[in-house]
Amino acid sequence: MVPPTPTAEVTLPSSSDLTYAENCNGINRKNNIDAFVQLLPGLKRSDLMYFAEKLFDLFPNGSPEANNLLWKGLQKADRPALSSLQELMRTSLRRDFISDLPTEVVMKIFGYLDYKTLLSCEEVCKSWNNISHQSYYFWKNLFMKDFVSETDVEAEFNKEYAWVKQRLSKLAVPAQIAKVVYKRRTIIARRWKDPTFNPRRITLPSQGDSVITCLQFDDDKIVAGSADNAIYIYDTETGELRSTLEGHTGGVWAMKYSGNTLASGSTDRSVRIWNIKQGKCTHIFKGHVSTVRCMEIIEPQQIGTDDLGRPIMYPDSPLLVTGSRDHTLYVWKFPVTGEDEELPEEPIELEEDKNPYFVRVLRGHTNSVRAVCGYANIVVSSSYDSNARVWDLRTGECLWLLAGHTERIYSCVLDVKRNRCITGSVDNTCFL
Amino acid sequence: MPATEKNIIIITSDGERFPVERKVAEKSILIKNMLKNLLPAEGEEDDDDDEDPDSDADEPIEVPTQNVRSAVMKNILEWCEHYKEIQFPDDEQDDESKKSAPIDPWDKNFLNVDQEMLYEIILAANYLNIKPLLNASCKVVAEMIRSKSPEEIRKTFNIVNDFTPEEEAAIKRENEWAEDR
Repeated sequence: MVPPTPTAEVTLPSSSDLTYAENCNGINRKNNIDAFVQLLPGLKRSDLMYFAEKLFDLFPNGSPEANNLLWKGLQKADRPALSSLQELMRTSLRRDFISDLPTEVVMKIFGYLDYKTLLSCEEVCKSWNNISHQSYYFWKNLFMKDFVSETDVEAEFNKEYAWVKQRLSKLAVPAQIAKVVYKRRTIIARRWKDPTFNPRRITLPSQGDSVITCLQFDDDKIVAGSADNAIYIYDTETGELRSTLEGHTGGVWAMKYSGNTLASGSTDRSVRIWNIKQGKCTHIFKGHVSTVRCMEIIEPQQIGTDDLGRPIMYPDSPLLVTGSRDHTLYVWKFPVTGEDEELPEEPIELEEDKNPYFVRVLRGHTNSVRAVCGYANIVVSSSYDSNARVWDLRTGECLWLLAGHTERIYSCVLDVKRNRCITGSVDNTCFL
Repeated sequence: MPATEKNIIIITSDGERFPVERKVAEKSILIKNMLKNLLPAEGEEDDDDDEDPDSDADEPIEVPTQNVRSAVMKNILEWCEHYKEIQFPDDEQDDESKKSAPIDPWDKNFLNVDQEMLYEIILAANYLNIKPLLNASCKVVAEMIRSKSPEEIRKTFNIVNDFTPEEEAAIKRENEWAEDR
């Protein structure tokens, strides 16, 4: 603002004079000021205004004097002025106080938000972007809150976190990885619920006209056993045929793998063990006298603790249980070979009586064994004799005979967590 | 007994004195801990009054709070007074039901203040360690943000968008997955 030129006969004291006057003590100071105030009514309004503004400027912002003058000013204001003032104050009081709050409080506030709002916050400005980008815990907590599952959610999160981290090695910040984990889950959850979602589908070229009899897959590979005697391994990502395991002289009707080792059972009555990476058959187990129709690999699990509190594991090393149309189940040690281990040219062919991997035979079923499943020392087998049997692998004893089905049982699963077994039969029922 | 006496005097940063009951003041864990050192708890007081009956109890105790100005303290104490009969658990359980519980209507109305006051209440609740008030006020702020677009949030808090158009586009692209399709 351009200061108006003083037109009255008195010269206004400059601000430095006033400061001097203020600093003077006692009567002298009071007299000076009083004398000065007497001159004021003679001044023009514009000069008074100029003077008042100058005077106001002398007090620092937010000082008690300035605040006091403000109150005085307010008392002179009329209602319309107060109304516009109120509007002005409301807007000027709006400020980004969130960035000024202590971090732990900000974390608390953001912790109350849902993911969509959190993402909006990221787009607000740089400092907000930093807040929500820093926090690994927002996403982890959101994950735990939004994806309720029966299993341990935290463990699930950690597992997916590790998986994502490995895939996005360049993203080093935990918060970003946690966000990706959350994002991935959200998208998957949405797709499950979206009837119009069209998942990417790979159709694997069939190898000839034969039936695919068994299937197992993971993120890396899809393995299919075929009635044309071979086992085909496809790449999960691209659908390309990676390798073919050939050797069986009858259709492959059962197959399981664990790690790099695959076991297959065939109408040629043999069980073959393969090294997946090298695509080679390492062992042939003979013993069954009819088609090997189902199998299960039993991994070592903790089944209890000994007197000293040390975990007891069973089995010591993975076991393979095979079920056959010859009504029996065979238990074998599962011969694991390393990915790069040097393998003999020809598979080792082992008869039952000379097989170091052979453990025992489980006898009891009176018809084909159609399905088998197991965990630790427990194996459940179900058969065309319409019974399921529960075995203890440690002794080979049949613990229970689960009767009830009136027809052939085709499948069984074990729910270890709830300690239940479910069987399905062609009598159109399931038993729990 | 001195239980209902206003024998705690809270002094604010601008020198105002607020006499309050002990149980009101003790809503602040900071003050509670401070008093624990100065005054024995009321229960213990009853047992030992044969020696020096109510000599300490009559003496008002001054509690200075450097970081809180009187206008804010007035609000804080109103809150403490309202909840003085309610026992909040000392250790905060961060369970989900509590977290997603809606704001108490009384709190909501109480916290219907301008942003500056809300900001100062949060700071004071944090400093004085009044967890339920801190939680409620943080929820209020969260409600101010919830379900708003970035532009609406900027408007609410008078924030300047300091992203370059490229940066903004990059973040938008990155966050596209959240949009409903």
